[in-house]
Amino acid sequence: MMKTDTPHIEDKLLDFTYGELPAADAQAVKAHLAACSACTQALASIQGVRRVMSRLPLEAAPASGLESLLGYAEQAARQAAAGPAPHRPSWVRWLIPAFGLTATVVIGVIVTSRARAPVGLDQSRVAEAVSAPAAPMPPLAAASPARAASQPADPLAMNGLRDLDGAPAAKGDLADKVRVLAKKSASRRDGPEPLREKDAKAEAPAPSEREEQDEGRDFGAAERAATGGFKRSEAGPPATVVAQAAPPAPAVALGRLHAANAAGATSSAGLVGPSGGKGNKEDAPSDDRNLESEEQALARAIAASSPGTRQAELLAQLCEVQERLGRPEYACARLQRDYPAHRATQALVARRQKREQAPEAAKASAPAKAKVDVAEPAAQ
Amino acid sequence: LATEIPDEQLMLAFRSGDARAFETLVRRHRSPVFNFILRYTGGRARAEDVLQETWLKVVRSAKEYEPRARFTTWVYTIARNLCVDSARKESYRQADSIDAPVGAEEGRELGELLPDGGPSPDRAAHNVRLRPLLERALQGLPAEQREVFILREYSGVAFKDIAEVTGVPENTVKSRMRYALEGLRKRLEELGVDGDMAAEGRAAG
Repeated sequence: MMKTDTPHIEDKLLDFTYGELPAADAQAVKAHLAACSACTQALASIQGVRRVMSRLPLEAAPASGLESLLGYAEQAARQAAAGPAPHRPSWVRWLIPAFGLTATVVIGVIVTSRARAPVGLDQSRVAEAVSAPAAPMPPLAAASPARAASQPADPLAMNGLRDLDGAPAAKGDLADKVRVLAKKSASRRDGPEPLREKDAKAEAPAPSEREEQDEGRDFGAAERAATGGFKRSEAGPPATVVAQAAPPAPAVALGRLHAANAAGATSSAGLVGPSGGKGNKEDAPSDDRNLESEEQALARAIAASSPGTRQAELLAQLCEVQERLGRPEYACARLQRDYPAHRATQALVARRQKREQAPEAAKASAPAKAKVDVAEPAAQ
Repeated sequence: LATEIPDEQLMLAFRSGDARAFETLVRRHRSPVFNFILRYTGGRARAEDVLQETWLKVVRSAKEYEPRARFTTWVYTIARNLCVDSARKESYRQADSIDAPVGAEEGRELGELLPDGGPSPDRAAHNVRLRPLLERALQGLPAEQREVFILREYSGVAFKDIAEVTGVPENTVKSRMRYALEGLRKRLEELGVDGDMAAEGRAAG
């Protein structure tokens, strides 16, 4: 009887020694142990190892990093408390009224330029995109109603088609310009709401630095917003943005075509309002992702590095990246602690002192102006 | 004994904007998590970096935290994954000399070993002698046995939760634990600490 019990009990010795057995089972094990020398020995062996290994003292976690961690958490908590909605979607919602039609135009032109890249341009989608908006495309129709209606060989239309594959240089240039402008206007628009608070706390730049800081920082914010928009667009399509637009010029009509195409890529059933956040800064999400993957790569490199100049440089880089991501605590703090004499540290300290002297001043967002910026090149 | 607010509630409170809840969690778990990381990675500098990364990630991923999961299970999962990453990086870096970092670390730490408030000078001195040996024995275990042993022995994580952290069935966790205990016993014998395993512990309580 004892023998059939033994393997069963042995299985329980681990749980027993770590106190994971329910009281009744533990009692049974004890009773068994009193009569079974093999199990008693097995248990003694386990306990011997545990006894010795328990001499490894528990070490206190280092104080370094604690303060910056708590600061970071406080910032995060403040944000969470401020907006019940998750961060990015709230941005998207905010962006919708701000962008409206303007965004549509920008999307169109940006997509034009992106279409030059061979990335994922599926021919069938191209065909879809070309045929779908054909009816509500006044510029082409107005220019040459007959041809537009009857001949797909219409030079303009052909141009447009070709453009999907390997856009002519002139249009590409235009698109690039517009994209740059779009970024600028986007970053200008970026501002007042949720990110503002965080950014203001993280860094309140001195007036002298203001412009430069804002460029970098707001761009970062815009990237985040755009990422949100991008994600959202996979669920809810930007297609109707396209349909609502009344583009003034062929270039834009073309853009519209591509926008429709891009919309097809994420969702074929276009509905709902203008998810304007979507494409106006289309390459921003990848920038954001780049920053984050850069952050991770740097953090790993630092984790694997040993103290020295190289590590200081890595920390300085990570500090900058995290500043752009709006979480400048960890690397910057470590840089200051471990490499107080490094020039990057001194630059950082100088930067922060400047900021502290200049209280944050709310910056007016300028959606109206952005509209002008965007519309001009598009109409050229 | 005042009722302690459960970790999970604290985490939910933090998620909805209570920074002090997070601070409580940090004070409760930062050191245990650090000890896990330290013993997993075997190097202090790396452990400090991984520790910070872990907690930053807790903040960043707060929204994804599901109260269904035990908080500790969640944190140790994060920490463990970062340890694995870090170890992988390290192994690329020093493919040639696996023992080097541990040995170096031990050598350096030997000088500053005295645990504060140790029970008696004798015991403290004994621990000073013992500790590098124990660390070496631990580092000698395969990673998948080591992590199980550390989580159970030092971090107090139950076997079924270790299964979640490491992503293997509980049975596997337990058999790894048996191998770990057996491996440690042999290694400690080789290192001449077997006397402690048998008699000394009994004498000292």
